[in-house]
Amino acid sequence: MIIGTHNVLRFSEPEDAHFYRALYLQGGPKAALLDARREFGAPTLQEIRELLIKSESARAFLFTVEDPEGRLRGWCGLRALNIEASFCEMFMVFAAPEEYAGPMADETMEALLDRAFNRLGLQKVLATCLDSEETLHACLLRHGFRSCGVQRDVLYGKEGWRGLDTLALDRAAYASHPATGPGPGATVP
Amino acid sequence: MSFTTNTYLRRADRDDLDTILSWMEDPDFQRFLYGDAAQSPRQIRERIIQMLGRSPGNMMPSAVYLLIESKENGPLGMISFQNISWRNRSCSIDVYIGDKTRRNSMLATISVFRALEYAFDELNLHRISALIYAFNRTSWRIFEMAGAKRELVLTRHVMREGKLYDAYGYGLLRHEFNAIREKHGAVSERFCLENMIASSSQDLEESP
Repeated sequence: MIIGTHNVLRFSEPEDAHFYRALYLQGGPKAALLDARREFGAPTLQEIRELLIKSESARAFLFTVEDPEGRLRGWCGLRALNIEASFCEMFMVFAAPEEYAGPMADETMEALLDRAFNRLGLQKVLATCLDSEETLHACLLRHGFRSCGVQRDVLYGKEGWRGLDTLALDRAAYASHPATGPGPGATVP
Repeated sequence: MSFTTNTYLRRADRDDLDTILSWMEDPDFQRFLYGDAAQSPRQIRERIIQMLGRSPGNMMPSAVYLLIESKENGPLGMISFQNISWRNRSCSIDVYIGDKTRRNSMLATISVFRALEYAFDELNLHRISALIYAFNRTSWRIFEMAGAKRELVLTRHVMREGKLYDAYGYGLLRHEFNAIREKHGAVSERFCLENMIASSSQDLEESP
């Protein structure tokens, strides 16, 4: 477990499937939960469990975010690891959009970036967010991410077309950024 | 050479297995598109079989594979629409011209144009995207000529020959393609899909 001041990160477990399904069902579409076709689905518990088992065998880094009282608050991870080009994609999903403005999101982000840059030695981390995910977007910018561009009309829903912003943070920007630079970050017991 | 009478697009089928296999084993295929040199011929063959046998023509597939074929020279290349989302009416496109001498020719440009016409007019898609490596200038220029916008610049994103290169994400919306089509309509009129179908029908009637 990675224990911070405001959160606890631990590897995802099949028992978390109920919570993850709620993230899909509540609060509208989220970029992190779109599939390869950029569709926002409503997977069954069984499908989520299979995804978790598969990710375990593929050594993906999926984490559940808990608050200090042990309540499940979010899902995050590193995926799409490209060893050759030394980058991966990070994602972070909280049940409530306002969480992205708080210390729990900052601490989660710091732990993920620490793992990507300092433990895995990657050179770049990518992230995506829909134009409707303003608080997530602000959180990414706060941590030094910069937009690589917006893909237009990627997702269709009852509110019309939505664009998808892809953001990147490279190692140099990470090291020099005050919010994410080589600070104490989260601690590992 | 007249494209409308001698070269056309058709769905790829299992008889194309050996041709596609030879293209996928070509190092250029792996350089410009994807794949890994470590794949064995058996793995490549199984992948193609799976791809060609994916779904019957009357279903809503998640991918469509089209062969560019010439009457005189046989299969020349392949265009694939992948990750088709019928909900978002979108997909990604890959183009591969197997014959190296034709990669910079009008063949590639017109084939892409024709495939886009098929995607927007026949499949009723709204958006087509492509991820193209920066060093593959021919490809991204063709896509730009068709009206696509460079939406993403992913720096140092792909490793080739020990060097990191940028990749560009392109997006083409239906109305942008229509605008280009209207602008260049007079030039490309004889390349239209209707002419291609009429030509194929004529060939069928004339065949013994």
